Amino acid sequence: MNYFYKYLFSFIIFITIWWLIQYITDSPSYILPSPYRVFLSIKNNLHLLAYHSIITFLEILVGFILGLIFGMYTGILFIISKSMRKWMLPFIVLTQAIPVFAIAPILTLWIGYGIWSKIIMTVLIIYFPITIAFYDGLKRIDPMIINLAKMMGANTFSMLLKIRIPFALPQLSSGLKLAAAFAPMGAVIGEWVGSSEGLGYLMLYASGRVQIDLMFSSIIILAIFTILLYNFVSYVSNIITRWDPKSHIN
Amino acid sequence: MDKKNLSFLLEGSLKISQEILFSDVKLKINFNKWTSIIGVSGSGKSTLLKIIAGMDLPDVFKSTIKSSNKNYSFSWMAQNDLLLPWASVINNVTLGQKLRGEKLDKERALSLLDQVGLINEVNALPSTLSGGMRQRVALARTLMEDKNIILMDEPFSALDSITRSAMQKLTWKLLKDKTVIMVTHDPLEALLLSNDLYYIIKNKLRSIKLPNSKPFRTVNDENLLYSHKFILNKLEKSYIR
Repeated sequence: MNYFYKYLFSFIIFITIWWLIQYITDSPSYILPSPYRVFLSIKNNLHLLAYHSIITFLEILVGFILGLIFGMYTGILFIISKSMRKWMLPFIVLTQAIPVFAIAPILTLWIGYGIWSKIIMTVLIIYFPITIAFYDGLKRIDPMIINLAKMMGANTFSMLLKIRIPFALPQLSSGLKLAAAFAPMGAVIGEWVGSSEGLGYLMLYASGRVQIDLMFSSIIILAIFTILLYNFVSYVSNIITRWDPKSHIN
Repeated sequence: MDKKNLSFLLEGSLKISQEILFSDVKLKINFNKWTSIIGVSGSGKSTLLKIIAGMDLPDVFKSTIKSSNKNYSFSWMAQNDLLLPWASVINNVTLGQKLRGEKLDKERALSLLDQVGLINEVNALPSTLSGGMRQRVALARTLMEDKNIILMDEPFSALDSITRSAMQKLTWKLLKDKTVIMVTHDPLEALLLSNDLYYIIKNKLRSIKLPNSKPFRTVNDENLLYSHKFILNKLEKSYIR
């Protein structure tokens, strides 16, 4: 609960600074709307915002789950097979060397304006941190523990499931937290490039019609999503790594 | 175990890069006895133990050491207890059965934990235990495995002297009828516990005649103190070069 109050406190400070800047500079509402105007906008556009939020939330969620599955799968492939690691790692780094902004229009072209091009954008953004963090955790284990497990008659599968993966969970948690912070970015970039739904689309739409208060509303809802997702991931991470309190971030 | 096979022999040499670590190793292991190997740090005694266990060594090592019998199974106990940090004491003790997908023999695990004095810590995580307690969990795990030969790599060297002494007695009590090969840098420890004793000097493995008394010996044993001095003299010479 204490944790919740800290968030609330930061939020109040943030709103205060925002309001102060708006008050001092006396900006017109098409440059910087006051917090109150944005609050009114959220209230008046509740249905609109809810509709677009659900779309974006779905993209983030599905993208996050798929990214997690692919990332963990790749990490395990890397630890099992040396040749896989040798050949695939440069390829994965290469995909990261191309800015996602550059890939987004191509994805929209190939996959269409629907939800899937955004999900793939999200997967592309979080796949790398999850893979690298998980692989790092998998290989960090004390080789003597592996030797001990071999002596006890472990096979590749039981070694992976009962020794390697549990050991890698603290590192995987770090990767997951990064992914939780990045995932909404992937979905929104995808929506900017081409879509007719979602918070990213709504931001562009509002900007084009100089409805800056609506634009701010979208941003705030997106921020709340990100915070919720991050905290949920962080909470689950802390449960699965209860034995390693050093890896917890609070 | 076959009554005719009362011992087995390890022979060969070990190189690291081009440098010889051991030449002409001849190590005779008697069954149901405690064999110790003493050496200074860096003498290759732990590597020797890993070779006996059949572990993968880094590529720089070249070993021709062969065992006269390869059909033995080993369990391992080292200075680092190698407990899984997320698993409770009982889950660490039954790790071998879990890894092999066998049915867990909880009763046996509990009785072993009782013998090492940890019956009240069955569900504790290793991080909440002291060094001595963790080593006792490792001992219970080793006993749980029930392998032919128990290999110990300086199992007590990370413990404080009081805990170490208690741990030596406990380990002796529980392992005295097993085949144990222990590597240590502490001559006194080896003298207290061993039936057969080797020391490493100038890349050779040599055996030492032990006092006539049987282990577990007492520290005030005159012959033991004499042997202790003898070993220390030898090791110091090898250290100064």
